[in-house]
Amino acid sequence: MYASRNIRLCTKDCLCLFVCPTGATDTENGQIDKARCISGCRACVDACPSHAIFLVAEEYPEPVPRDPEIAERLLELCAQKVAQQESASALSTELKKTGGGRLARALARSARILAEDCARESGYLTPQCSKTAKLIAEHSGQDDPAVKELYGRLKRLLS
Amino acid sequence: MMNDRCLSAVFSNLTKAAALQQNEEISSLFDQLAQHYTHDTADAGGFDTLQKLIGEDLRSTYASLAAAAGEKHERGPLRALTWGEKVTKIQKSLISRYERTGESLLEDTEVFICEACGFISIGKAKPKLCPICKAPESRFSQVE
Repeated sequence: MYASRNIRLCTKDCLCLFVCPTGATDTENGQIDKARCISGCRACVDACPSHAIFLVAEEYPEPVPRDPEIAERLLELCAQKVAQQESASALSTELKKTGGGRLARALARSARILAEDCARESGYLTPQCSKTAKLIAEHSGQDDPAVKELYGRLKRLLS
Repeated sequence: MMNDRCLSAVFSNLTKAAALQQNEEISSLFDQLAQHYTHDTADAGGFDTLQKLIGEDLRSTYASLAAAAGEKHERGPLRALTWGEKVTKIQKSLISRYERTGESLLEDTEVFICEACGFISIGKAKPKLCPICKAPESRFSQVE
């Protein structure tokens, strides 16, 4: 659990500099130096008057399991949203820089966000959760060596 | 086995999740997998084709799925369905307006999208607050 700064909220009162025992909060780029940050220390988090510093977790719990029927139907809706995205995306290419093209691009991005939300709520909530692990394991046997390598690396990093 | 459309959406969502966890390596791997499963469609159809697809979701999918999620107390899915139905209605209304008024709908105005829920806003400036999900102005992006 190391500290991270939301620069949009930071009011530059710099109390984090007073309490950090390693100087990790005092950097030229506005980000906290993870290499110096003491995991779980949270002195800066508690001292910050603008609530701009938070802790990033390194371990994530298993999410509450989804009802299998709901999860399945959410994935069907997810596929429909991706189909809509594809249709809108092709339309935006066709209409180029016109107003209609801009609308089609917005519709494509909107449909994509809806598809991703359905995917998340069907239970693929975090990279670390068991449904994601199962999905990666099921697809590990790929013909394309480059894709196989992507799955292999994810499996190693997430185990 | 999961189809490519779902795989691309599951992986692009996990790309964002890993970025929020500040794990760039995992995020980039998921992003590459998402790209691998993303395919272009040759046939664009028109706004009417898109409107038909959207209409199907609004006619029955959202209502019946939300009812099932409610019965089973699946509040996360219910939240996604509530926002999703509202955003989809906005999509439908924008397409109808564009079909009626043509290019004048988008003359001298900007298009913004809420990155949190997909809400589309047409206007001079970003909304201060998303009317669907209450995300702040900073979560809006301009669509070029």
